[in-house]
Amino acid sequence: MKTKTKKNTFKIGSLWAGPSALMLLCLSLIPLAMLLLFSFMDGNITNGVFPGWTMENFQKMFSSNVFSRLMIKSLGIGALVTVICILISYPMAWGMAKAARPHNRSMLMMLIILPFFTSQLLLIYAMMMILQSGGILMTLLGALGITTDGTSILYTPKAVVLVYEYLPYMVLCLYTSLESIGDNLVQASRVLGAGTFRTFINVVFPMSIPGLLSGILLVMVPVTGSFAESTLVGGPKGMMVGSLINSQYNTVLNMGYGASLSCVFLIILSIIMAVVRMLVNLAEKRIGGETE
Amino acid sequence: MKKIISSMLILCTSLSLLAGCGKRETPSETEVPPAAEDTSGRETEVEINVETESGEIPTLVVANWKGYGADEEFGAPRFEELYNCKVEFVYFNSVEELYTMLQTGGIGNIDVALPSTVYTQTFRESGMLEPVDTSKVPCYGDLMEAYLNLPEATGEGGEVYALPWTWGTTSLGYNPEAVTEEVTTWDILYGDAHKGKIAFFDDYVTALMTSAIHTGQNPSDPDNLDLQVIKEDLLALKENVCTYWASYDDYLNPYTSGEVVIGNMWAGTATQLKNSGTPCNYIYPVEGTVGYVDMWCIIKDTDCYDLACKWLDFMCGEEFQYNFATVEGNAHNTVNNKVYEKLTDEQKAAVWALEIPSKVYMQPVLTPEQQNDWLEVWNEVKAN
Repeated sequence: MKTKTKKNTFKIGSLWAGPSALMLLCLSLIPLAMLLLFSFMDGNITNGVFPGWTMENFQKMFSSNVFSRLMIKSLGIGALVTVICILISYPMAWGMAKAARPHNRSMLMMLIILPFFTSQLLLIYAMMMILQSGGILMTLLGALGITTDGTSILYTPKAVVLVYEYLPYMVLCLYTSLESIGDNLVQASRVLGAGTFRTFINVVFPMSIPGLLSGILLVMVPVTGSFAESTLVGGPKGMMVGSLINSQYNTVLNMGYGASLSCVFLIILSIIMAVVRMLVNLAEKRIGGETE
Repeated sequence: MKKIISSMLILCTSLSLLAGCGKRETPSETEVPPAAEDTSGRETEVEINVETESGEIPTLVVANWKGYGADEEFGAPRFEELYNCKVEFVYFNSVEELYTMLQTGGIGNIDVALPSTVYTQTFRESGMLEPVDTSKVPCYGDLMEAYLNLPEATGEGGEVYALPWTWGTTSLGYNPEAVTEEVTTWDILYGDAHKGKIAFFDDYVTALMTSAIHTGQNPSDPDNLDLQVIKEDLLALKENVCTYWASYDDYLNPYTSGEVVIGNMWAGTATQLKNSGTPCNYIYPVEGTVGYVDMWCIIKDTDCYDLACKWLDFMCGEEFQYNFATVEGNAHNTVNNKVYEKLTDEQKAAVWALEIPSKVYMQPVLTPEQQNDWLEVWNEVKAN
């Protein structure tokens, strides 16, 4: 009887997952399958005429060095932005989790989340206003004698804009991890003679690894695939792999080549995600799930 | 993947919009009675009753860029008033988007559209256009000879598939306060004088055409272009470029802040800058410049063909063209001879048409292979 009841409960429970599963199927799995299918098509299918199968899309991609060059460049920018976000986020998150008074934390959290309330494009334009010649930052630097009139750092450091956009993700991930570290552990470390640096290396850092790796995932993947930032503020050398894919879909309507670029891009990012996931598992094993 | 989903959503939205454009009438129901006999009746207050037997007025679905003349007060509202009909707009952000829109359900729902010259041929060859019965377009004889019977808009049997509406250029614009030397040639973009202060159009067709002009090639003959020479020329130019622009805003912001002082720009951008009080000169280099003509077409399977002809006549006719060429802050070049004669020198200068450029290369029709080759060159330049 007991077994039967359990079985029934399981079936009813699994029904609740139906809408989510349907959404996952329609918005994720079917489009992914379509993308894979389109990558072997010779051109565009939007006019309703089947263009035929081909391997040329992949041959073209691997014979041209444009994709590989942009892929490496995009991964490099993704890594750079992630490292900068980590360096800025650690002290911020630690301050929020441990130094700020509990009743101030919600306000600080709100300040971190505030940029999410507006659109991504508006954030980019806001940064452009700050970075452009005659903007707040350049005027300030000019007044301090660091730069001369008419100097601008816009159109060169798209990483600055990307850091600004994705910093909240890293802060929130680290904050969650750091907050769960008990104060008594830090105190115990100090009582046992460890200094601030050693306490951070041996206690705080290992226990924050799961949050750190989640942050890396949330920052590096979208940054690598971004294209709006590189188009708007990247300057002449700002092109990233996302722009290349975008140009195939929106400029020459070459859906087949665009899909093949997207597929390889997805595979590369999936490998990176798998490696990150592996590191998360290793980290969790090492600290024995104490941060849970 | 995001693009596919976005395209599907855009398509659904477009079809929903079109579906909501009111009941469509059969051709017999929507047929517009002949206009006043006087062919210059565009200036006359003509009220034509086109109400159907059921009392519903016909709806004309127009595909256009948002804010591009036709939806001004002197555009669609005036047309509705003249012909007692309703005009619904479907907006697109690129001609490629219009093409996709038509291929994925727009035909039969959209009545008229505004592609540029180069796409008119693509649309015509894809069987997406109806020939225009010029006898139903009284202003046809007033249109400038140079823009009539363009090969892109003419069928094999001489049928007219599109009527010119406005023309423009993507030529050389600069801030005369920062660029004090005389500007007559594209060479100015390649020297050291304004290095890092140049903006260049992020459009592969215009980029390659401009470079072809600079390297002494004929950009209107895509079969005989040396793409390697063009690539090297664009790479040399890239060293001087501050930013690649893709929209009005992309250009206006760095120009007004002084980060950019010269570059290729749309005539409309130069007009906007000048009207906003920012110093701007716009010239046609001696080597030549890149031009375009925007054309109105009637889309295949329209169920209000006569009303569509009326729209073309209204858009290219004297009344609208005059307003379009003189509207403050956003004037455009006219293709109507009568209107051009009426314009003062000041009005012509406002749209940089006091002197018509002697060497204008229209965007050529590219095969899909050529499109891919050109884009590949442009992407290689940008990725370098």
